[in-house]
Amino acid sequence: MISYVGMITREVPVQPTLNIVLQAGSQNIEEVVVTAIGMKKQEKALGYAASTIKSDDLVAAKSGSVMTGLTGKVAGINITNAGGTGSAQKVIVRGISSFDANQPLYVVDGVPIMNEFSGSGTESTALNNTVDFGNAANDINPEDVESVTVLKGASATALYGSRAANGVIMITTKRASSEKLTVTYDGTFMGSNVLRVPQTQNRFGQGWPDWSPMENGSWGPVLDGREHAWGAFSDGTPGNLTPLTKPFSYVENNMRDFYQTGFETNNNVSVRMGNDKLGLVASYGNVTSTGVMPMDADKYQRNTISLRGNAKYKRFYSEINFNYVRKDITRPSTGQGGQGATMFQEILQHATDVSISDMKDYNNPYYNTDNFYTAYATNPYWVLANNKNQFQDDRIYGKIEVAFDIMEGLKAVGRLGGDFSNSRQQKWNQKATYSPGSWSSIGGKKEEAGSYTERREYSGQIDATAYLNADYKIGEDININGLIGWNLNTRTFSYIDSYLYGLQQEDWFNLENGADKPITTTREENRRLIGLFAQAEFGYKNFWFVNASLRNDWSSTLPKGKNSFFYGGLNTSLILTELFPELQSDALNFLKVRAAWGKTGNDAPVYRTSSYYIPTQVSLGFGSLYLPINSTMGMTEYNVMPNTGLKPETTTELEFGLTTHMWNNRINFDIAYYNKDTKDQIISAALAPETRYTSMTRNVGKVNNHGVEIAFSVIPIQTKDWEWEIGATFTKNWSEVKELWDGVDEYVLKSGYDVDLVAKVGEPLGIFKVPKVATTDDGKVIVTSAGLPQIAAGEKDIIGSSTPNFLMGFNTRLSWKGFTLGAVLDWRNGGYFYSYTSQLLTFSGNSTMTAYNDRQSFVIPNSVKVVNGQYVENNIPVSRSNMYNYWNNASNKDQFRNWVLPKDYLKLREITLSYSFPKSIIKKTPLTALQVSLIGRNLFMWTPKKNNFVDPESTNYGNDIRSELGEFAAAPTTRTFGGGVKVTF
Amino acid sequence: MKRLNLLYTGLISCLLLSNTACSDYLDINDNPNYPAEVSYTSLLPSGIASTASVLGSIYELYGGMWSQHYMQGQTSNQYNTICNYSITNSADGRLWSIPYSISLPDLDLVIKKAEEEKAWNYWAAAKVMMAFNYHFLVDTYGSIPFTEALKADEGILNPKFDDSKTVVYPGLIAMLDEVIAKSGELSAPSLPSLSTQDYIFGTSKGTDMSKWVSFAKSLKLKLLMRDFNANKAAIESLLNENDLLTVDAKMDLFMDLENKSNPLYENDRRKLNTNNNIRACATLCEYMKKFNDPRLNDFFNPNEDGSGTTSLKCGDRPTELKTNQVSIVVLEPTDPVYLMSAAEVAFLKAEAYTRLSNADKAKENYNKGVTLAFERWGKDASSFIADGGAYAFNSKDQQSMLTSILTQKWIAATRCQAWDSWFDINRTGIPALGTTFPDEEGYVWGNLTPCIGSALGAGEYPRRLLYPKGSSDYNTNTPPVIPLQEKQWWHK
Repeated sequence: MISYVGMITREVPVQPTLNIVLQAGSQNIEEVVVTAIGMKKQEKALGYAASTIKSDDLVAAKSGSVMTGLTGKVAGINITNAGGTGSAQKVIVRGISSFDANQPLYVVDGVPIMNEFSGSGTESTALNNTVDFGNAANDINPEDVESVTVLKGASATALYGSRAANGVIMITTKRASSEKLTVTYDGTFMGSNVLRVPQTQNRFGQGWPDWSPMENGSWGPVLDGREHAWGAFSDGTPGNLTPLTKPFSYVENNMRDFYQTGFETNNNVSVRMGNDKLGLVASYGNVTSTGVMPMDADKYQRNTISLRGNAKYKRFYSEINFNYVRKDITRPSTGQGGQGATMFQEILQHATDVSISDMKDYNNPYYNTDNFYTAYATNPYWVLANNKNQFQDDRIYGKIEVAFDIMEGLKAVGRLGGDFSNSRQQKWNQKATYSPGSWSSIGGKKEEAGSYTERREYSGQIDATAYLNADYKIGEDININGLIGWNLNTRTFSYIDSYLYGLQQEDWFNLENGADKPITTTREENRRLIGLFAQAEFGYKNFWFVNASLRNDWSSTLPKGKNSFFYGGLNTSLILTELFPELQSDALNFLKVRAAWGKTGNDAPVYRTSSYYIPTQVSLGFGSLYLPINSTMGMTEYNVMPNTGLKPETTTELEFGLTTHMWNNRINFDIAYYNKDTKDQIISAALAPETRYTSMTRNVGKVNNHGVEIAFSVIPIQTKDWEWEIGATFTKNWSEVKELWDGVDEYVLKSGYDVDLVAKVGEPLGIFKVPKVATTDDGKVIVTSAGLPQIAAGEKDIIGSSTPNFLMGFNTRLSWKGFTLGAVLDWRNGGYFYSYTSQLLTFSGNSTMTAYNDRQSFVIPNSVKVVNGQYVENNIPVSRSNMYNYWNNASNKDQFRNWVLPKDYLKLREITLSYSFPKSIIKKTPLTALQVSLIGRNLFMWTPKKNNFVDPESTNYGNDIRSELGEFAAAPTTRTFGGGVKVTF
Repeated sequence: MKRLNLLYTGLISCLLLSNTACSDYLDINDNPNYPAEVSYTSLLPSGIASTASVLGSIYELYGGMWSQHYMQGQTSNQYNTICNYSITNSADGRLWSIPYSISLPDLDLVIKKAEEEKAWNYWAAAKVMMAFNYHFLVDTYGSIPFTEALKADEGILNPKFDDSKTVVYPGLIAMLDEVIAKSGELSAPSLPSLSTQDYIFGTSKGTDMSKWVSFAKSLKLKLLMRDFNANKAAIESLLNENDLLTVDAKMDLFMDLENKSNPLYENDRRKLNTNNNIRACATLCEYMKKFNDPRLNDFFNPNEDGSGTTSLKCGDRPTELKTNQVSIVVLEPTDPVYLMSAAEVAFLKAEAYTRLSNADKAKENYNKGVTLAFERWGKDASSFIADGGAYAFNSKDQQSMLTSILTQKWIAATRCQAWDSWFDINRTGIPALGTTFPDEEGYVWGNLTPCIGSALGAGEYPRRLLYPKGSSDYNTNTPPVIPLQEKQWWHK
């Protein structure tokens, strides 16, 4: 126990019933948890929920990611992964409460670190050419982590204030105490494949609606297996290629065969040693993942170096923590192509009878850009080879901390943390031209001008904290602990971004390769925050604890003179088994009740309090007009109205909980109920354009979240050789938007085509709305002259919320001698997401739903048509040849409801089997420990029948509220399996 | 406990100290990336270019489709909803938001700042541009926010909608009269330099401010024509004064570069994934073919398979025609955006003289208009307007004269001011809405045809655009949506 970091450890009599065989992860009452400002507290004294996961559980499945290691193991928290290794992780603590930012604050050894998402797609309007380079909190090597504590409520996080309204993930790294030198190598070697590819119909082949060799999509004739000419020039058009032939039949596993088997290694070496004065840990970690895209088009490599030391000299203590992270990522673009083709879009629309993987040789004259079979798509292999995104990031973060014991019970601590990252992003889209007389040229395929973007980004954070901590005992029964401190946080973000459209020469991706200069933008953003905080804690006789915390912040982003805000928390816990010792027995070891109230404030985004002028760039939907023109610049007033009356956002939360340990501590149970209101959120609220602005920065709304979280674990078997532990978590959150602003009752968070994700008063935050069908008074569908449903203009139907009804995690661990078998299941029940993949597959006649009624003509049931202004029974059939229009998003907007899919899933997140060689064998080697393991991650996923398309977790909209919209031809998630070895010398 | 008291005293004084020192340290919230103030010299180019960009792209597209110059291609779908009039209030909100939230605020700032500094040349150009913006807004939407628009900074977040007939049009004429009244002061040597900042009439040597005055007068004439009988005297006096535009008011600075080209070209040709969307409409194309109009291929490319210049009937999607068998319309990246062409002014004068029963002057200006419209494409109109020529002025009666004038104005508006043609169709009923197609018995050449697949009732036609969702949702004073086919007060 290193006591200088926080309060002095109180001596507590060791309970005789305490079973030291308890595995990490179960709640040990004497466990010490790291709380706000890095203060270590005994778990039993806490008046709020704090869940801690230890190293062994965190890294059991060797995902290379801290938060992945937490999935399914902590109640009250929802962790999802956008795609494969290194993609964005969304962590939602106790429900979505903000219209904008909902990610928790990550704190490593007492210092906040950055967690910015890198890539594109997070803006409310962005849909095309998106890319995901992950979020910065994922840079932490889990092998360096000793434990992770999730602080969920406002009372727990109040000392962190401003940025902690969405919870805090407290990460404590491994440190060396008095121990001899050990070297540990830990390595895993894993393969991966696509977890889910969309299922396609196998009855109909190429055509739209008649067979045509030029079409992609599968609206054509019934697949009959006959040998036929296909592809370029197979319709009799004269050309320089003799048409190919193939059978007109369904290609099994067409999409799955397109993907390759990925390979992932995770290697870690760490060295640690220490004595009573000094402790040192050095580690190196490398994750190299070649994903499932063919031709190694998605790669992720992360190198981490960490040096951590602690020293003690008389009354001085110091701790240094230094981390360097280097990331190199290559990704294809997702979503639709705007600047250049995107691969996912191409394979989803592919005709069911045309083999994708046969066209791997994109230089073959039949499969190249000139003569690829369809003019409406590009060979996906060519796209992967030519259109890319790359990302490199060098990041350093860490801290220096010095503490001094002023006198018995009083200490001063100073801590300086820094986090600095420099990244380079590149995006290129190849130029493509078509030879005269080629199949593409005849098909009127548009040539690609090609583009290149390069962006250099810097973000930096300095966080300094100083505090005095006093700890006194009054008599035998009363313990008082006081803390008073100061905090300074400054953050800088800057970039230079240069975009060149229209490459002059193929294959040369450089900003000089253009007819005109690239468009270059530069930005710098600075923000500062000063805080003063205090905390007082009162403990009475080991059974009653009260904790009060206060903080005042001054933020640079709030209006001058009105930039100060004050908040705090109060919590208490009562240990009934101590208060009434007669309650204590082998059946009931421990029982605690707790209550907490807290309020946190949050400041504004930068530069919202004064107006400015920007160079005029008029967006016309697809193209734009940018000034200057004719060597004369034009400037326009920025369209967001500033606000000099901004107030901070506030979250107020009340929480109650109960913790108990029973049956000789073999049963552990924790339940919490919380109720929080988030109000005065700072957003750019829409204004009618005739006011002269399109939006205004203002404080709006009130969102309520309340819920229950339960953690339960039991050790049903515990013998000399056997131990079996089962754990479960349950998370249930209800959310409701209580108010928006000025009588506005709906606010669109993000849209994809006609599907809106909205905040609507009286509904959970984030509900889906889709076009509504026009009906008669008696509920009959009104059809158009084509026999398709008419849409009620300006009206939309609510489908449901994006958020789950509940989440459950199950984990189990069975040990026998040196063998351990572990598994984690993650169950999500309820909620919806929009799947553009399902829309595109339906649009192109590939989804299974398009085989409805064997594509035979039908009349929409219970419908009427309009004849001379009167409704008469509809007899206009949707014919076989018009079937594609029935399933088309443009001609039948009623289809959108079919593409908002249930988000339910049950996933086998982890399964691991490990064997630790017994000491008796190890003794004969130079090793001190040896463990081998078999590992599987995301091996299986079950989803409702309606979703035979994608993993509902996948998204290409980053990791915050807007990603709740769903996926827009996003990259697939993966299944990973392999083995590992851990050796300690 | 005494020790604790000392501690608190120290901490409280520290808090006070840091509080005063804080305020300077935290005063960093003015955006360092952009200026907090700019001059009217950079705001005027913004006001003009943003006007040209929306007018020359989305308005031009709607105008082209609804005037039956252009039609959606049969093998693609981009503009289906425009062609078949299935317009909802969420379609193309930029038609409203660009003028209101970019052009007009910038012009408003030019006017205010230039007035303060007595920079009357900038002031006048901005006033005319402001009147011009409101002109196409009020013509398109009917009653619009006018007196309370652009006043969010004064706390008006729900501006009222002003009646077009009694408030907006008179307000615009008053705005133009202010400029006309100032015409003597616009070229004073003490004024700041106005040259390339003027994207309409400016040259590197400067701007001839008399052109802005003529533009103001021509625009005034155009607005007065919306109620000819009431404004007869004012129209006569403008004609007699004879100081109307003889040059084009146009932005002609576009280049073949991304984000710098003609806005319709940029939005359609450069940025969409196909260039096949905008095709020749039979109503205009077949008319021009019938009369061997030499401008045919300035407007419509020959079919790519070399089989002539084939057009599509309004709203038709024939499946038998391949993608390379129908004419794609000609759009060039350097096409200017016309606000008011000299030809339009000549036709406007011809119409005014016709209504004033001065047939000679009407014919003179008609011939001028046709000549200018041909010259724009380097073609000679003389044989067409000569007596007995295909486009010879028909002075039989007033309706014949108007038909001659507005039919030629309709052709002249192609690839130029198609949006204005839509206003004229509604104002004058010429070209008239017919019931047959060019390939049918009884078709009257020059009439508009019905639209196949129209979302409106038989014989109905778009008379306005719907108040956009972006206004309806956030302005409590926005009136309920008025149906597309409901006529405005100045419509025939």
